[in-house]
Amino acid sequence: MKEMDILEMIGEARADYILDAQSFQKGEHNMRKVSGKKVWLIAAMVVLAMTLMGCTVAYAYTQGWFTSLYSAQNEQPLSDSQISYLDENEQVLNQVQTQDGWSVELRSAITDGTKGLVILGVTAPEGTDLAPVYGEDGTLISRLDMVGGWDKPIVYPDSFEEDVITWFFMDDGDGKTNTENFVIEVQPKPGEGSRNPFDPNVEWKVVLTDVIRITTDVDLLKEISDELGQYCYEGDVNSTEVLLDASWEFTFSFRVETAEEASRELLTAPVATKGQVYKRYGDGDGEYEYVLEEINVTSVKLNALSATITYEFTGLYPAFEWDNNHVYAVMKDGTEIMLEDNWSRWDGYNVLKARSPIVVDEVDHIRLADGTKLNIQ
Amino acid sequence: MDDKAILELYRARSDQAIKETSAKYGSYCYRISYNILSCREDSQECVNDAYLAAWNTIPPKAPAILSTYLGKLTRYISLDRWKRRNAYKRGGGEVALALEELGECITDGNTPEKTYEQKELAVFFNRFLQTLSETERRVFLCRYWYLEPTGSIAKCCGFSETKVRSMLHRIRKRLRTAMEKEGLQ
Repeated sequence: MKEMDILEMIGEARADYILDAQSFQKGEHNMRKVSGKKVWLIAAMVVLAMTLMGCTVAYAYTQGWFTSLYSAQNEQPLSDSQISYLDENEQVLNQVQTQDGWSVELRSAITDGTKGLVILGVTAPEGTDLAPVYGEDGTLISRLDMVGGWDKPIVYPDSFEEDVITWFFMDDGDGKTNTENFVIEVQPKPGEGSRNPFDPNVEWKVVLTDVIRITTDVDLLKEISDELGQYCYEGDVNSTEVLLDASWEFTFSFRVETAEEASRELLTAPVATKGQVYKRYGDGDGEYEYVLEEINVTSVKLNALSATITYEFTGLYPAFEWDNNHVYAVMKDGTEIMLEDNWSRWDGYNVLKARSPIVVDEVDHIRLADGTKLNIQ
Repeated sequence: MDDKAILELYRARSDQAIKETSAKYGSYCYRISYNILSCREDSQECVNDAYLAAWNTIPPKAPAILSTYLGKLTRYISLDRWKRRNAYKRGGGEVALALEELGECITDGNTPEKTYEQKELAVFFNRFLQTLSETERRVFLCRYWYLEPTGSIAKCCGFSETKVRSMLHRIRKRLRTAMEKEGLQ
């Protein structure tokens, strides 16, 4: 079989998979293209709800950035207890640096002891429009970035053995065109012997370099639209413009005290379950096999923004990864919070990302992919 | 116009079927073709050929999802043109890069090769896709079905480009293992 034969074989993918991938590339499955209007509308609804329920005093002591963030990522409004959690654990940092009229503020951070989030505010000179530009069909045509090439926007002194870092701009909701928020999510796997990355004594660095606008060639898009219909797509007609050659660097430490109290071990004894695993031969660089295996779950640590599942495997091969999709925290009122597999999986444990904050006392059980229920102790 | 109505136009042999298809799926098909050919004129011709193929096959075919049916026709026709265009030279663009990457799935040829029908390949490949996580499947198809550059995929999924490349590398290794097991080398 030749390379082209494989490419042609890939053409035989199921229609629903192709359709799903199309939605994915159009950004319908990710946060980058959350409408600014929608973000602001949801945030406004949250503030209104809090006002009606007499929560304005609590809100006044925090920035509420994480409430806005999680509200924007969920169709359902956050509950009062979720909002309380976010507000109580939001670390207001308020460090500002200005270069050539561009001001970057390290606004807030939050961690649940396993996962960290940071929000920065970017203010450009008056008259600059930082907002992403969308086509009539919602397609992203132009957007900003402040992290170039292979760089990472956040690091801590001890080396990560591996990490998952995502970042994106979102509307800050102040109605001004020259301001945006910049959100960083980090899921580190500390190296052997390194410190707990969220320990209050560990210094983190946030480094943003340059302001880059990535723009799609509108004329070409228009030409395509005129010729072929009403739709236009972002793609290979993009150009990159450096709006500002500069860098901003901040240091800070996460505060974990309250978050650690919210962590809960769900198991008192190992639980057997079944799941799809990648068996790896040899030292990990060898061949893979994807099979359904019995797994011995030894620990499920539930945090407010994530869950860490530790497990054992007693098969023939020394190492494997568990493809841990379709896990949910089922709340006492019957609602469910998805625990997403966002590629934070390593040998022996997975860290899942909570779609919205989990108030542990309100959880009834965790449902694993095969239906296994893990009740809260 | 919804897909059901467009399919009715095909069945009634109305010219309007092509116009409606073009209005609704023109850019979708064009993008698939352009990712392969990187040439506006060639891509437009391939899209037109895909419309003609749809006209000639519906009926008797009645695709459940019109967009992917058209997308598959466009992809097939565009790859065919790419092959003819690049018969004597190594072509550039995403296809050449994708082929280079997919070279990792091929072994040294010592394994006896089994002859497979297209249908069997489809069953094998879709079985393989089922073993991937949702994110992996999406990333893999964006790269090798839609021939999207890794940078664009990284922006879509919110990962770094390194992460996307690493993910694709691991999936290719697994595909290679699966193909070896099936005697597809």
